Amino acid sequence: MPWKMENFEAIHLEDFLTDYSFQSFVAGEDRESVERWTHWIAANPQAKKEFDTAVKVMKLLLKTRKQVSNLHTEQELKELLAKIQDNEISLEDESSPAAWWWRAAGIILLLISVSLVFYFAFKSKQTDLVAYNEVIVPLGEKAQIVLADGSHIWINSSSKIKYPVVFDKKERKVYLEGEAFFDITRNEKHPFIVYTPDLKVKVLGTSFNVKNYPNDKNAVTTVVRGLVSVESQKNEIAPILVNPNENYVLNTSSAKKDKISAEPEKQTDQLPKKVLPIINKKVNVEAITSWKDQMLIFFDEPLEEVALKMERWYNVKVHILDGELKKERYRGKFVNNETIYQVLEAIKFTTPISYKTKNNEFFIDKPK
Amino acid sequence: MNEQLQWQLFLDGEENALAYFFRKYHLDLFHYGIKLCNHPEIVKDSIQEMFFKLWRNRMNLSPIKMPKPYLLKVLRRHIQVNLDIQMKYSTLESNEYFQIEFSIEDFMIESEDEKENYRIVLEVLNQLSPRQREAIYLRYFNDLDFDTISQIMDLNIQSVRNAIHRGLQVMREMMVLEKFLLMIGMLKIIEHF
Repeated sequence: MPWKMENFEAIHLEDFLTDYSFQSFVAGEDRESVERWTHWIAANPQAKKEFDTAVKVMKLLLKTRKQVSNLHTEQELKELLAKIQDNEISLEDESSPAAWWWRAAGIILLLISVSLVFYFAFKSKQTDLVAYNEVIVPLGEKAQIVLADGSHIWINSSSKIKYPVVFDKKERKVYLEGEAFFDITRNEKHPFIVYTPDLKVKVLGTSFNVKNYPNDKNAVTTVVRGLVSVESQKNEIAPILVNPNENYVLNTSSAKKDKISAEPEKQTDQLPKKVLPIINKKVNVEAITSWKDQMLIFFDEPLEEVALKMERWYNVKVHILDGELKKERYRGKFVNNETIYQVLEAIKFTTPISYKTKNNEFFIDKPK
Repeated sequence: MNEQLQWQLFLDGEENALAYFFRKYHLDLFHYGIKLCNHPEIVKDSIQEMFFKLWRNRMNLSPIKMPKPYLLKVLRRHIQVNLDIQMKYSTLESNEYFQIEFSIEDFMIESEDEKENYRIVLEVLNQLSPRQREAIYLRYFNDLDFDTISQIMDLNIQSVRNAIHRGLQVMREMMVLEKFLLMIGMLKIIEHF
């Protein structure tokens, strides 16, 4: 809106530029604005200099354009639609013949694979009828499986892995509790996803280690080769890309403590606290994944963690009685199926400890 | 078909409507995103994530008259969240955060002479505060009104008005102060019109 003449001295560039009708006037958009401003400047010749500058700057600003290199609209739209369809398949479509076929295939395969444990996923979130194989590895044992697509999975002690007899049309999904090493056959059309109690790990074709034991402080994903996207299951944290020789560490202990101590009623009106993951660069991948090659490696780890590894490796209980000793860091490599006594003796060699044993339980303490 | 109707189709689960908005605003969204953080991968992922979540939650969304500003606003929030996360791992410098930089390619300037002169104006523009620059970007690059900009930036209308007004005022003052350099440059540009 043009201002009255007596105010013109206070009118500056910015006043013109922020006026909508001035913009329409410069753009020549509507007759009313054009007439109004033509009249205004005729009546206020003193403001001509500022007015002319404003017209010119406005013309510049109206000359904006948007261009972006590497904008692949169609390709990305395709990607988006694929993601959406994918999501909808897993939400189940009762009437779709494809869904029926997959269900039927699932049932047939279910009948064939008698040696394995099956689960109908009624209990889980998906209502689709999917047959799963489940492999449970007890303490002190390890297992290896090869999936239909050629992917190789090593499963560590005290772990459980569940995977569909037939992979989903879009995604290859497996469920893990504990620790496993994955060497995944590349298939860009069917991403491979590992769900653990705390993480969602998505890859196209790589090798990586996932560790998410219920009594560990952290859920950890370590990447050996390729690129892996890791997402926390509980919080609304966007997926993070993890590169080779990096690992993604999510502290899960705080959340678990809360669950036990907080009363259920109170919990509902409390917003879940955001636990942010940590990315470690240049981690010792060899040490982390050594278990799959029957090597027990401790890489500068506190005795507390060494004890946990030994528990799983040898199916024993290890107690550290001295608080200081728990923090003592230790390195070691055992490749010849050493016994737990050989390992304890090796620790004793560098760190003064004493140990006692009773019914598969080991008690480590400072020397008396 | 108008945008309001398209949006209703989107809410009703029409994939064509989703494709319509994606195609129509992909450039605007990408450009705004790039201006905010200058990390194409983050922007690309944020756009995908945004449309995916909007589609998944479409039952809970309400009808709107102008989808574009709404999309800009939602994208801004997604980028902010993703940047917050990335910054935790120091892959981003804090000075890259939500700072719109104008570049010569943002304007339809063809001749080299003009470009040279125009750089001076850009320098002045880029010295404004991040908030002023973002408001100016939305006002002139996207032709949005103060009310809409205030919704996108989560500010009240008066703050947006002030940011733009004050930004342009600073520009004018800088131009006066550096008249030997800037005014000459500015006048040269002006002569081209």
